[in-house]
Amino acid sequence: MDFGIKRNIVNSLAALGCSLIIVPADTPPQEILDFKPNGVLLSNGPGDPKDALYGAETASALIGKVPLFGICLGHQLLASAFGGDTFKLPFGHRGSNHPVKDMEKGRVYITSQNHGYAVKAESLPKELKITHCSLNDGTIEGLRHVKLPVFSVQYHPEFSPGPADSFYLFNEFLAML
Amino acid sequence: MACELAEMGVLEKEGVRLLGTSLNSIQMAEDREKFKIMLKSIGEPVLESEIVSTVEDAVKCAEEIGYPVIVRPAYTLGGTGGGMAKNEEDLRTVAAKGLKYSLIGQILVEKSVVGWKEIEFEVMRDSADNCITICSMENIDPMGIHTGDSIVVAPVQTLTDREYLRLRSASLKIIRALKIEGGCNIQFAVDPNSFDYYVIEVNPRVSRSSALASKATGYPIAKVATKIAIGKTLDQIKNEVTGKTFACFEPAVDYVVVKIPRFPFDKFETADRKLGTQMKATGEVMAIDRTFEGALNKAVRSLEINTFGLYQPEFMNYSREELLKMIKEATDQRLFYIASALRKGVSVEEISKVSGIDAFFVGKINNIVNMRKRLEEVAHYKEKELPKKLIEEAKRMGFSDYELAQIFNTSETEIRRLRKQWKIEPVYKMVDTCAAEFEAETPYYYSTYEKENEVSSIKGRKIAVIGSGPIRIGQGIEFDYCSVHCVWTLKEEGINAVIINNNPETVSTDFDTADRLYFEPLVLEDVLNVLEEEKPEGVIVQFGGQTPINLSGELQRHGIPILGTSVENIDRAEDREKFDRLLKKLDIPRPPGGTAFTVEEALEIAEKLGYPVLVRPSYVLGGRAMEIVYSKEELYKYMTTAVKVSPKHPVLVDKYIEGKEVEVDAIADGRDVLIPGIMEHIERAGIHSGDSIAVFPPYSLDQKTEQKIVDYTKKLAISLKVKGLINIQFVVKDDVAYVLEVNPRASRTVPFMSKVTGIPMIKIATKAILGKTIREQGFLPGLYHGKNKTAAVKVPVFSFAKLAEVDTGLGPEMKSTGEVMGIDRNFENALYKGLISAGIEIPSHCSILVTVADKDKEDCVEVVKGYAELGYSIYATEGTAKALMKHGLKVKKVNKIRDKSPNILDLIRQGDIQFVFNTLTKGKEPERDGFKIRRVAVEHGVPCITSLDTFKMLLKILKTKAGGENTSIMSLQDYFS
Repeated sequence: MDFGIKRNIVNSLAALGCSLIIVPADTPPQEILDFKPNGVLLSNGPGDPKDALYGAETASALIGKVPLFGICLGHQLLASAFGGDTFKLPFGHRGSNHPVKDMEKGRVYITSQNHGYAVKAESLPKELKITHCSLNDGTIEGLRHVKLPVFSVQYHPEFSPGPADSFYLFNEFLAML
Repeated sequence: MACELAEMGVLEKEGVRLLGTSLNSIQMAEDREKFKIMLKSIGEPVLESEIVSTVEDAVKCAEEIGYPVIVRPAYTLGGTGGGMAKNEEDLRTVAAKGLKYSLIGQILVEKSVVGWKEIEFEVMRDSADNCITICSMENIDPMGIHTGDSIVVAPVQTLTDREYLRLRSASLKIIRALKIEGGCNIQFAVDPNSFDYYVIEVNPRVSRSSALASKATGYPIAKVATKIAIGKTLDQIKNEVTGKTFACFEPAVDYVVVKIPRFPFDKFETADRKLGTQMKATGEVMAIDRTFEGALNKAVRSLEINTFGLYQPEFMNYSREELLKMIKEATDQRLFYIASALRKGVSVEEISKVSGIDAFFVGKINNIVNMRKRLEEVAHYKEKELPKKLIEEAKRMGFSDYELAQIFNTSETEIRRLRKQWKIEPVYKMVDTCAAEFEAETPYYYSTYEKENEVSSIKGRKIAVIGSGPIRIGQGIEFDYCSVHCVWTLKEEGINAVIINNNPETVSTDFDTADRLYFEPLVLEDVLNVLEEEKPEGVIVQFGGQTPINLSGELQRHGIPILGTSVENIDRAEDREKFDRLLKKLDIPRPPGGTAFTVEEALEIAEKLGYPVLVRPSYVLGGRAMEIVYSKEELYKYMTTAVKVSPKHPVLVDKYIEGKEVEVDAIADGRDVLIPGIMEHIERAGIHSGDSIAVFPPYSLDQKTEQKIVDYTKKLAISLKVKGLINIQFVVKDDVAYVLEVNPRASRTVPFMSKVTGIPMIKIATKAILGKTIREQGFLPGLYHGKNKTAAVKVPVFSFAKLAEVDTGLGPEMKSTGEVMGIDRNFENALYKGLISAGIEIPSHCSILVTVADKDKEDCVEVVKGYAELGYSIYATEGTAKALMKHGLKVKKVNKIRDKSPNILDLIRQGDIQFVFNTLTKGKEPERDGFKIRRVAVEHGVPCITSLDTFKMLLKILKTKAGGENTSIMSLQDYFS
């Protein structure tokens, strides 16, 4: 789903051998399912996620029917689809040197980020697990559903600009399909 | 050392764990073969190379790895006999030559990447496998020149994002494969014409580049590496600059950093200035600005080589062809040759092609050259008013007021006045690791000509300390010790300390040393700017060596209060005439002498004094061109060739007193004088004090002389109204103590004396400057007598093996590049430890070559006899052999250099001689036999002593079997407890 997709996300998936169907942000869920995709990626995009809640509605209709991966705005919309709330950060995360901690592995990755909003931790339902946090301000950087093949990150796993440390997430996505 | 200790089983036996990076990782990075295998296993490209011993094998090897190749003979200095081959025909010639030069008949044939970009990454990893890159750096000088000798810029300037990321990913892969826990430095060669690269080298430790990267980014690499070594992970370690975020991040750089090496060629005039894989620099400067041009210009004037910009009028006399030839052959002056060639109209592309320096950088240099031309054009038309807008632009490019004053034929003060009137003034920006993303608690500052000033005011008292700039011969790390201790004392006294310095290798430029740190050139303009910004109550100039002392007069003229000894009294100690008058008044003897304005006058003065005499031009500092001459002929030669005497540049002729050299560092508060101790030099006067072995306490000084020295020191310190430190050098002969020199500042020996006496000299001196008397601080004036019986020596360390064509003989000009200390319960053991630390190890049974000047032939007999009695076999050249045999010594006569083989040089090369004693005849010309003997010795790692005194003292040590069981192994603290 294209909310303003960064070109290198497309290139990265293509490089991994995926056939891609890029649909406009406001495409209805059934139309998407009609393509019979192996998985759906909710892309990055500009501004306040609350201006794009139609995307969250579409996502909630896809949950359980197809594996979902959200990046940046896509991550915020996925959280919203599960009833989560978002807020404006006092200081937006911008740049290619943001440390993010993988809460499960205890590892830190240097990531590329460009967002002014974040998901509220206390608004999340139990079935969404916080997998990644910002080392700088502790805000949520990654979520995963405890049962369903649904996960998302607030940062950009595709590189250029910024590091390729988190490219492995695309492989994890592919493994779900 | 870690490897050796582990291999010897010491670590295991003593139950000592190696923290941080494991031994296995160290070996994998340092062992060429293991390193190659590791890189291949993770798919990283490594330079192909092979060691061969025939031309045929070399050709075979080159066919495999592809031309061009580099040939390096094994075991030669500075790549003598090596070279590049572009094809088989070339290779056959180069390989044959290399095999001839190699001592063991082997050459390394390696794929050539000369001319490729040299990129470095500083990477960190912790035990949880978190990896980050701290900083990327680009060597402006391409592959082929040691990174320590290259001009380096951070961050990388000429790579695309994709190229940069590839190298970053490779760096992380490598540090993970090596399992390094801490920091490491990775060097890459990057092809400017493709995406190819090679991993050149990995240092599994912090390095010179890590220090630079730390200062360039504000990320304390060594500190974080230490915390990793004791088990912390990067996400647990605080970023101390912001105080809020963690060490697990990659610093953001919103400025440009330029590092330029500082070379010792001003001291070593005969040295080969060509740069290559053997590092020759002694130190470096770093400058920060918002533009590359600005940082480059600031770095150039930080070097303290009397250069305030890129324009060098004397280089303009070279033709374009000559300049291009010199640009191709890299030397320390290449930057200036490039600027000169650009000024002559050579294109950026051509220079880039010839030098291998990326056109981006040459273009930047061209911007500076063009700016100067534009300024000159305006100056040429002699408009009534100076061009405000253009000057503003020039300031943004880092042009100094000094250079602008030259162009507009006015004074630096006038340019400064105009700038202020026009409000063209610098602002200060922060180095805060995060480009202002977070508020910084301990940032440091650099100047730039922009609009917004980021300096916030600090409350309370404030004093500035001027640092000592780049490490060079004569002004080393000792002065940074002094500056840092001064800053600590100021902080202890509740005063905010501001430090100004430009040396990235030092503690004074750590962000947590002073309350405020400014990375700036130590020239009048930049120092004044900082002082006017900070408005401290005063500035301390006596701890940073000669650099701040030289600035003190001008600073005072600009209304800056100088704390401590007054400028007038500094001048009284430094100006020869005023100083002579003072000594006369105090009735303190100094070696008789005079000032000569013509050759005839010099000869006349010398005749009156009697030879030998010490001669030196009056206008240079630090012992340059100083010589001892023994006859009229020698003096005539010196006066007509070595110096150009004129009414403006007189030559000082002093009686050379061949006596004991004694040195004193003292602290005065204006009323009382505290002398922590007296040092005696092993080598007699005539060898620069920095090159002598200093001994504390004195080993042969009688009570009467000691009292004289104490009295003179008191008298001088009081009448010069010293507040703080003073250093005095004496020569003692026939019960007379002559004063050679007074330095109204901290000296090279202050750290040594502080350590061996336990007296915190800088602390006391700083408090004295602040107005606390010595008595108030709880110390008694006079010569301090410690309760503990310790002996200590300070032994100089030389870098002759790395500097081709430099004479290793010692004299009045300082040559050492470092020093070590040996301490023990007695003198012999202390000296033994000192010599071992300095790398001088004399085998207990070996062959000694003795070849001395005529004046030393009789004197050396007794000593050589001593060595012979200990079982050393003696080799000597004809004259020396004759003199020795006359006294019944068994001596093997060796052939002189011109004689048939095997001559002296062959014997040293073959390893038949393990130790050389050679005293100097006059002259430094490389053709002389003594010069050649000393060079061959140093290049083959054979110890070579050039002073009879050292030779004698060494015998004494060997006789007492020092270093045996009675050597004490104690911490410095234990000596004082």
